Amino acid sequence: MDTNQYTVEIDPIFEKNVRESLEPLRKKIKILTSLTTGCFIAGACMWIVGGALSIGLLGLGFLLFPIAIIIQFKNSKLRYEYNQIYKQFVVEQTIKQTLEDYKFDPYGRFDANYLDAMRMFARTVRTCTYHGEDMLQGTYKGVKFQQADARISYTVGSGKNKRTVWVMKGRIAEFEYGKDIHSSVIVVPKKYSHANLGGLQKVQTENVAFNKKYHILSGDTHTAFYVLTPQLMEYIEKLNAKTLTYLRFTDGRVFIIQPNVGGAFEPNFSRNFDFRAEVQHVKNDMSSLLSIIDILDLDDTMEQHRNLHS
Amino acid sequence: MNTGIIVALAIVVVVILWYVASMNSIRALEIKVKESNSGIDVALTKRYDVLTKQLAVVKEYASHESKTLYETIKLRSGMSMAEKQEANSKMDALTKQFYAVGEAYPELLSSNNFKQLQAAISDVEEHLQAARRLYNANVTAYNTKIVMFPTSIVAGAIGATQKEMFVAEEYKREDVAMSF
Repeated sequence: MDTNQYTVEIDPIFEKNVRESLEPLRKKIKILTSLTTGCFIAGACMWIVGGALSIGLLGLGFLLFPIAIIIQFKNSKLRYEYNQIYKQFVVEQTIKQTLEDYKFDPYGRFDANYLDAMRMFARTVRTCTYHGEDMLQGTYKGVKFQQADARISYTVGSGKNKRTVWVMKGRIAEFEYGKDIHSSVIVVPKKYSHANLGGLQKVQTENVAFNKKYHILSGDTHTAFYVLTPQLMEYIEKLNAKTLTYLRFTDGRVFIIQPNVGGAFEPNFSRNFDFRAEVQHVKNDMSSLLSIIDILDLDDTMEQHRNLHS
Repeated sequence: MNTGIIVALAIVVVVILWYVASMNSIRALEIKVKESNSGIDVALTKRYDVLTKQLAVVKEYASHESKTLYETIKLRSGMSMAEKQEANSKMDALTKQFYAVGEAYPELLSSNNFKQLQAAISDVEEHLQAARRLYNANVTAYNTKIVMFPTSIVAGAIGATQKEMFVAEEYKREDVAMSF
């Protein structure tokens, strides 16, 4: 999908107001981030070197840590404020002009019970640490979808051996799917070890190279061949060349899980605020999501489904 | 019992086990081929049913030629692969004519019945394509197994012979002939 195929009209006064709200905030955030880092580094140096020279330096070193924490706390509040304005006036305005209907909740996420009911991951999400944001629901080319960022992890071991295992740090998207199937079909890159592979049988397609790279599972081999057309397999290959992607087809919906991709609609604090560049950034994120509808032909499949059941 | 006899017996046991295992794997693949072959039968029957509905929708516009073509399509159990391919080709030809009728009569093309049937045709074709690919994948695995040495010895002994693939014409790529 061409990221410029839809245009986003920007009112110059609106643009100026947003920039005047965000740019000072961004500068403060940048300064506070530098200060926090500086305090931590200086504190650590004084603690290590100063201990040998004087008690005063050691004390100052210790004092810098709580100062860094206080600055960081203030910084988090500013980031929260920045995010709120950014998501409301940059992200949502861009989405509004792109989609037929939409609902955007910067603090929304997929329900953990829902993800478990869909048997997405080998580990029950309810027992993990789960953070999600940027829930976007909408319709594009007649296909309903929803997507959100998700960070799911759990800890293993105890004491010194305690470590965090990441199930995913990326995005989950769900689209309407028009093919009538009575069994799930899942395609998981063999590199990804957190998908739920239980209860389904392995399928070998005619594409030997594809079979080597992915776990293909379904309750019924015919359904797997019906869903996984040669074109779709080619697309899955392309998608995985860009980023690790796991697909799960169930009756009426398809889930696309990208476990290692960065969050969508995130602001960049390191560069000067440029409204148009930010809009382009949101458009790119939208494009990577909506292009799935085009490439998987989900719109045609849905239309065929509606005609078939009309 | 001396060592030589024990070794000979062990070799015989290993050979028997290998023979049984190879025979079972050939039989298992053969069953898969039969199952997927029946998948083709199901898909062809579905396609034939849709074709019957298709003819009912366009009957006012259909030519004598297409009605005759429809009557020549015969599906029965135990058809050979060549017969199935022939039936499928005739169905392809009829479907082509169906689309050609739609192109010629815009009022028919815009009707709900026609759209519903178009969707049904696409769906049964996708099912048939899936059944064909699954069958061919199983036939390839089976044929490879029975020609590869040393399983080819077992295959020869149990009378396993190569299976025929299901080849479908890519009729969608051809130009639509206006025969109505």
